[in-house]
Amino acid sequence: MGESEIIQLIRDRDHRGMDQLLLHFGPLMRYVIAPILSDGRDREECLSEAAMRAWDNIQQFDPVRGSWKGWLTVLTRNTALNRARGRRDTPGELTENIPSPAPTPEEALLRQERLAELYRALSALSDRDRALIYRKYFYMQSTDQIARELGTTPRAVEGRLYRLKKQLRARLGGDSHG
Amino acid sequence: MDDHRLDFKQQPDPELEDLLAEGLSAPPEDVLREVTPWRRAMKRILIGLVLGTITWNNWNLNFILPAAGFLLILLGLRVLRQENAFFRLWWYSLLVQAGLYAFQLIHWAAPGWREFDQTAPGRAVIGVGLALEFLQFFCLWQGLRRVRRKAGLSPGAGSGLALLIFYCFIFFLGLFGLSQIGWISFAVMLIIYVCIIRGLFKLSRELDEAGYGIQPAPVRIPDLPLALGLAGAVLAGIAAVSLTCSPLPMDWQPADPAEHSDLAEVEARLLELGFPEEVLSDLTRSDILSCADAVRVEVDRERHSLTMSWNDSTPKPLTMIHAAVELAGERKSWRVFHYFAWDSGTQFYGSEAFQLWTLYDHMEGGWRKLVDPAGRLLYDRDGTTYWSPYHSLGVEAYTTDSMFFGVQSYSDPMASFSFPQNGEHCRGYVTYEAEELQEGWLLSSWINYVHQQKRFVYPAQTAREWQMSGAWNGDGLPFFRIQTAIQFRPYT
Repeated sequence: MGESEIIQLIRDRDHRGMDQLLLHFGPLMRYVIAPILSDGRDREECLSEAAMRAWDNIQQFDPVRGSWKGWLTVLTRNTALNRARGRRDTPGELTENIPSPAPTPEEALLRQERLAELYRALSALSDRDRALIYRKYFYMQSTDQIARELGTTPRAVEGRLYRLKKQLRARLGGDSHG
Repeated sequence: MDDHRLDFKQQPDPELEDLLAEGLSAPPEDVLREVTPWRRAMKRILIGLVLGTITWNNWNLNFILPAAGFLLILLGLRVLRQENAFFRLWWYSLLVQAGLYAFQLIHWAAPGWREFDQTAPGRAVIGVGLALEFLQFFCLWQGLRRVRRKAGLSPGAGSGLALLIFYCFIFFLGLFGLSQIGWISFAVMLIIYVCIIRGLFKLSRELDEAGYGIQPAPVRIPDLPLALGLAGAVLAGIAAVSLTCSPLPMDWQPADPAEHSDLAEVEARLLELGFPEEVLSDLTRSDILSCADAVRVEVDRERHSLTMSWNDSTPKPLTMIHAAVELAGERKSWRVFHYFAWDSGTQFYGSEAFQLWTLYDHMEGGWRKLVDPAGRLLYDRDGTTYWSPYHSLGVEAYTTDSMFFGVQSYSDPMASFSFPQNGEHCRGYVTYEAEELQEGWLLSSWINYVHQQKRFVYPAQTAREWQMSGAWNGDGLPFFRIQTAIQFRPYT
């Protein structure tokens, strides 16, 4: 069954959609959850919770704004992060960004500027280097996992990340900057 | 040493770490595609399989592309090797095959590899390699089924089975000598192959979601150093074998200065008849004595360049001197000499060879063989002359297959030899004797001399093998053929 058919089943509130979601996208969701949650039982509960969120929030998925895989990845990651931080009390909230303590308006503005700079700096990296940064800081994969998947050694991954961060620091305005 | 290389976690930057950890939102599509344990490894394997089947005979691409393909499969599979039993089996068989493949790549740099391949060990290497090839296609098929099954999908992976069947078909075609298929059959097979590979790529894409469940295996050496190390080791092996094995073993020994003592009378007689002095001084005692009854000498002297497009200023480093000595007797007989001498400074790589078109073979009916071809090679160094018999000199039977003339069989005297790199005035000759059967026949004796003009020939080929392959002459080739003859009518 294809991606669009699964989405349509979920939109139609057809329970087969949930089965197909777990069958076809369960491995992806587990892959996203695994680096964030270490406990096996916690991971399975998180998977169920993320699937339920996808079911409940399917109307928020807009194919024009991004791919299904991207939406599901962000949703699953946020669910896992919330779980990891013991924030099970805010289940209905789904944001693209990681929840953080509310900043002052000035801090928020400054942060927005820095984030914009960061994205500009990231876009200047090669696809492979950008993916490495995302692996480490978005997917929260361990150096060991990254090394295994890229067919290299943890030492080589650490070295590459070190050099990439140095590049990013330079693009963001030098060592004094964040 | 740079301290940063000792600990990459030095100089932590909490603000950047925080920005990265909390600021990154939905990954862009290229990152979503890249971040998976499956796609990169499987893509390498599939590209490797495709490269392994490309046979492009220019610039050694028929060796480079399959070797690159093998390397890609190795790099891809080492990540997936612990995923299931079939990938594990494939990995171990690939390691064995890597050893055999490296051996084959290196042994193709040694002259005589064709002969080795006909021996029992040679056949065993080829047989085991083929068996492992089929085992790997089987493991690919079954391994993909396991990946699908693990993800809860139907096993499927029919394109893996199709690839296995396709290679079995190709193998049996070759086994039963049906490799010479027509263009239409070839086109059909190519289309089938493309469909199978397309199916495998499609299957791999379908497995993208299932592939997130893959457990990649750790590696000790990063891809690039491993690939460069393996390629470097094989290239070093090829270079070492090529440099050490390409020159043919020769039995060089100092010439005896007294070899021509007490032959002064015969030599004087030959010189008087016009026999070339430089040739005479290089002949063996027995060859000079065989001309003791000489009554007439005909000589032809030529200089040859090593290019198809020569002009007056083109260097001509090879001197060819042909001499025919008529011997007294009831029936007219002639001793023919083909003498070749290279200018000092000529580079010799690997091997040299010549083929004779003798009077008795190519003027059949007019001439009969009396004495088989024989001769020797010489060179000077530091004032001393060294000589050696030929590495091989004898009649060789062989067939050639040409687009214009089809399959043709030949049987001609051929010699194979090497000159030393540091030799001066490298030279040699061959001589034979023939008897006239019928009066009025042309005396026509040819020599096709083949000179190796490139150091590396891969796979290794001797000048003799090149000549026997029926290859066309041309500039820029590893070998160059000089075709020359002595021709005259003895009765005019």
